[in-house]
Amino acid sequence: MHLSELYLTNFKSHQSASFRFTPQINVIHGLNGTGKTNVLDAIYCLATAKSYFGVPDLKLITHGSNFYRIEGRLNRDSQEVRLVNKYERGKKKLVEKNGKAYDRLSDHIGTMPVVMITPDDLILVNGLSQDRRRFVDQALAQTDHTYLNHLVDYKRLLKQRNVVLKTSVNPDHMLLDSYDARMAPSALYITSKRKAFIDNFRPQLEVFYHWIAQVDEQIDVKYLPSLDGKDYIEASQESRKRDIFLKRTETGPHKDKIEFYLGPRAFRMFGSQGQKKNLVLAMKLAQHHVLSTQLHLPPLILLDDLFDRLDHQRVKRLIDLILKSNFGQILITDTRLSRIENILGSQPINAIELTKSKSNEEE
Amino acid sequence: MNKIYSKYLENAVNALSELPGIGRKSALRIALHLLAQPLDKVGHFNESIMKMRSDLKECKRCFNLAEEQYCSLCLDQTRLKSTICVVEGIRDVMAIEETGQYNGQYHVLGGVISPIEGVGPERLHIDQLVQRIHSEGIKELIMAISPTIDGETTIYYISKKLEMTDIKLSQIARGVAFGGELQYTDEVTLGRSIIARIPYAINGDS
Ligand SMILES: [Zn+2]
Repeated sequence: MHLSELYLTNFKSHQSASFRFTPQINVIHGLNGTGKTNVLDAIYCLATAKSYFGVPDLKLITHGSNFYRIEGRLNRDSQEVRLVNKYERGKKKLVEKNGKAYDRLSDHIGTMPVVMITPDDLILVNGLSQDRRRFVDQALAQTDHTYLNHLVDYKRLLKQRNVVLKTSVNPDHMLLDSYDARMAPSALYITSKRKAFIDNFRPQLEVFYHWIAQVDEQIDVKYLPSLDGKDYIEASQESRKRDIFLKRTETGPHKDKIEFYLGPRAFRMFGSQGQKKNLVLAMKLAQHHVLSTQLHLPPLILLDDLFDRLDHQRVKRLIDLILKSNFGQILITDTRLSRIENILGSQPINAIELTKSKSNEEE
Repeated sequence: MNKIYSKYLENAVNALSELPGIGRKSALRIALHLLAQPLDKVGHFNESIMKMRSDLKECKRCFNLAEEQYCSLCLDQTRLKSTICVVEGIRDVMAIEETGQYNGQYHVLGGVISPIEGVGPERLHIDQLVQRIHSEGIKELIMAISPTIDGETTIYYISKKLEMTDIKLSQIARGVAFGGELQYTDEVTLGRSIIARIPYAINGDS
């Protein structure tokens, strides 16, 4: 599977831009402020209908315009698929496949699987559990529509339930029971799929971590579900008093924890900056591997600002790894093409230069 | 759009453009059309809207539209007394009546439970429904509520309220294409889904 063409209209700094990509290594280079990251985010949007950086749809529109449009041509299973993601101020965001809009966005997710790697990803180690849950959810959503639907339902019901708790001193227990009953099947599904994901992910994480770090450090990842084997309704009943006192829902998959360990100690607290960079990269590669295995095709890799986050040695190791195994299509951004060319040697690459004139001034 | 030179015309255009689906361009077209009509015709137009607004009220029993205390459907003695079809709004009553496949009573909830939008169960006609079930000897309740997340929660909540009664609960058949809201379903499909209603199981994952 690979993305062969991309057309951007009024997407962030790109008023009008088109790109052609080859099935293997593509390098988008140019000075800072030429909109390299925006190209990768556009591809991410096309794949998942959301900005990787959590930018709201309205803010993705070029300043002074009232819509954006992303179109891509994807070669998948030896067929060409035309994907469009467009959003106009005040209207509903549309995602189309071959000219036909999807009824539900969730039906689209997974058509074009992606793994994005950016300098911001250190938050996955340093940040809160919610960042790590998002990482797991992003992977699961691309392989399992049912998961995404349960996640959407669960979040909506949770929001409703929290409003009930927040706005009434004496909440209607029958209403809380109703939310619990409706949340139970989703909570169960989400918990079991997250557990299965972590179980598949753990051995891959180890392999990639050791490959990148080149030292024999013992690492581990633990999934600590809020339900911990308990029945959702029972667990929720048990925490009902606490929920009412705290005015929010304290039990359920939105409270799940995912922790990384370096030996017996929490990675977040005891890992060095270098070890954390290795871990994040290993996480992404392991995610890529798990997705590849489940989807029977390698997701696109979007590597933003590679040298910013990794030293020459690590980049070299990463590129070697990518070239040796079947990693599929890769899009890399960097300020200097020569650095990547040096590492790739005689490996053919498709180099695309971005200049200020190709995009617009603002980033 | 052209600048409007008359204050009166401008006011009319502003008022018309507040109507759903009417932009300023259409509002101007309608205003100019009305301006070209005979005065008594516009007066009649005015009157019929005023009459509708002032003389139509909620049925005391089922919250459908009524000209008197009770709506025409509640007053119709030929309709089956023991079944209530529960709907979100008045437009759903109209849609179901169009099908000609249902001959029982109605109960209009006035929406679905959505605390985010400030709609708790107390804002809907749920207590009145429970009362009716006891006082009117209702045997079957058909839930014709859109199968959205909030719609399903509302159905569940009502079924919980009725747990201690032996009323028969059913839900209009799902899987029949009904794109979220009843009023957008075509008559044949909607009619069929009322006939082919399925029993509602409180703990079932049907
Ligand atoms: Zn009535």
